[in-house]
Amino acid sequence: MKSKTKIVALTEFITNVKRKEFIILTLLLPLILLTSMVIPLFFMQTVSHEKETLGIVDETGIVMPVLEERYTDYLIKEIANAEEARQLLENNNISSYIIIEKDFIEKGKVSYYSKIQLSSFSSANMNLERIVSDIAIENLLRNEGISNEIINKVKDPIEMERITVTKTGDEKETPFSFVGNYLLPLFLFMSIMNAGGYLLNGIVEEKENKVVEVLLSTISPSELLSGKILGLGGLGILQVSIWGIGIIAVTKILNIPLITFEKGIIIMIFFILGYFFYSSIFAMIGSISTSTRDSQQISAIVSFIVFIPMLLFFGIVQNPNMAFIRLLGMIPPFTPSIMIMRVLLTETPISDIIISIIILIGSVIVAAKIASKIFNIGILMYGKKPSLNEIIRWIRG
Amino acid sequence: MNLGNKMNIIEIKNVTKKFNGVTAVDNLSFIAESGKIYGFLGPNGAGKTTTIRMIMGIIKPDSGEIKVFGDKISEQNKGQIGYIPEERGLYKKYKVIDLLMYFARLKGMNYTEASKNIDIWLDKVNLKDRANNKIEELSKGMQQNIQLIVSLINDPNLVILDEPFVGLDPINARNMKDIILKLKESGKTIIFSTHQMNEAERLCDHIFLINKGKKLIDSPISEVKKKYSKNFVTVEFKNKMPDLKGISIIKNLYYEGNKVEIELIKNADSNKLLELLLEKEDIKKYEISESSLESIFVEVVTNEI
Repeated sequence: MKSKTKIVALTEFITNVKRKEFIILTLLLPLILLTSMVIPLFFMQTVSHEKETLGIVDETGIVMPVLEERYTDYLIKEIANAEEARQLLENNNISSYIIIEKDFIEKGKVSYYSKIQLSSFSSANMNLERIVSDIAIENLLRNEGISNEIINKVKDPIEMERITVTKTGDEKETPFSFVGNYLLPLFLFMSIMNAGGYLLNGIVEEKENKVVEVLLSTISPSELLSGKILGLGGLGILQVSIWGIGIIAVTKILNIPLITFEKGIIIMIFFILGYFFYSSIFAMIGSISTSTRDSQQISAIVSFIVFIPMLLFFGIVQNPNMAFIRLLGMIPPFTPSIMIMRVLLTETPISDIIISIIILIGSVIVAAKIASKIFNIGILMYGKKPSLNEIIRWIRG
Repeated sequence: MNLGNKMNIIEIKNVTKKFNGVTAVDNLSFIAESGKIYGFLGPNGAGKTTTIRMIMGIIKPDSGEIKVFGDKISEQNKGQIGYIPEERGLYKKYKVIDLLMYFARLKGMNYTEASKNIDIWLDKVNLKDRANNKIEELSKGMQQNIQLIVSLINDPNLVILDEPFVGLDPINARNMKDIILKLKESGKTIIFSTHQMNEAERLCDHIFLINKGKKLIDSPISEVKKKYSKNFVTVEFKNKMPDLKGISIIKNLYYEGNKVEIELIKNADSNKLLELLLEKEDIKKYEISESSLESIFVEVVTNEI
């Protein structure tokens, strides 16, 4: 590395590593990870203890006693008939009610009334349905003279254990695997966007306060740009390393399986190449922007494009080697995120990985060349945003 | 590096630069020798900043040759030129000491050498106690001084200042003048661009005047004055300025406060003028003078147009 590039890289690294925003992001993100795992549990717990009242219109007389015994999610209150229940619901005396008709077992139907949409997706509601189903099963089978032991088996026949087969052996899935798999790519991209954002702001700031001319009187534009990209890249790697150490520590303590070393290396390759690719794009944006507001508008669009593949997460989980996903993994703006998710979630064919890496390296070289051409000229243009034609001319020239 | 007298510090040969088909600098040539102050003059848009940026190697000429210290501008000798651009700027969030260290290091100084020089310079401009302040916490004048230190930190032999007097209050302008003169005393070569003719007149040894990218004047200031000398009189009136229009021997008038610079028509008698003026108002001061650089500038540039 040229010595001036090194000075720029070191200065960029040191100034930005001391920034409050950087420290906050680095420390806060793992905290968000933890809370995002804990909060759903917390909700499940508290909602079930929420003391709201469920009204029960029981025409059979057999359901109410069982519910009183087994159902704990809501307070329950027996109501004489449907009209009264409706009245109570409308007056908000109860939050919902269920009507159990005399022949509910034969019909195989009960009705649940609530003012809240989608309330049926709550665990409390699913528990209610399960208990009423159990009552039906118990009654149906007992009438056939079947033993309680068998009845209990029928009510809860099996529990499925989900195991992922990996190179290191079988691994039991835990809620952490889901959250970890989803959040890890997100984290890596937060880090890239963060470092890229610093690069962008730095360039625009130098343009805005005219420091760039003093800089360029001592250093060439390409030395300046590469110094910046390397320094901020170091920042990204430091950030990801801190998170990585945190993740390793947590998984060791909780004895949760971690991704393999090979996968980790491949993910890091995509992370670093992805950083170089996106930082070139950010450098281009910075060079043609005339103000911070300007650059933020354009970079918002870029971030959006970067995060689109994250929406495909569930598609990738279901069918990671689907042709569409494989193709997307070979189109540069999407390559890093798609490939990180594929590698993380499944055994990706090595040929796909190699092709993607080659395509990405090629794109990084092209993007860096274009970025440096635009940077060389754009960085000295104050006040006037260049037209697309002008930019194309710079790239050609 | 031989920096003996008469060495050509800058040599510009037939340099042309176009932007989008518009010629900014047109086949320009000049030479700057060591130990002198050069005034680089010209109206706005004449091509001064473009020329300076080409000397600094920030932009490349389309054709022609530029040599600095006898060599082509390169990453090695770039740091040997102290440069204050027209568009001045510093990192607002940096501490003074960090900023100066960054630029000193970029100019190729090692850490110990740099911190020694930073100390000396901060002391020189009375900003030693501000070393740990952020740039944005300094006044404009202080920032100006920091900018100056940035360009002079490694004791460059050539100092180029693009419009150094723009935006300075009279006190800071005087400081700037003192610094330029001190640099000359210590044997440096200084080039500054300006369109403030009075500053140029007081400071420069030599004048380059360009317009529309072309060189119009390239001579020592004494010769410029001799060559373009006209019949000039400077008059200061005791009370108010009378109406001077209608005096037939006056060719042109250049007002400056309560003074007026009067250009007489060729072969006119200045004693006759004095008589005519005394008829109008009492005179405090009457001086037969060489033509000012300003009037030369205006004449040369307007004739060109």
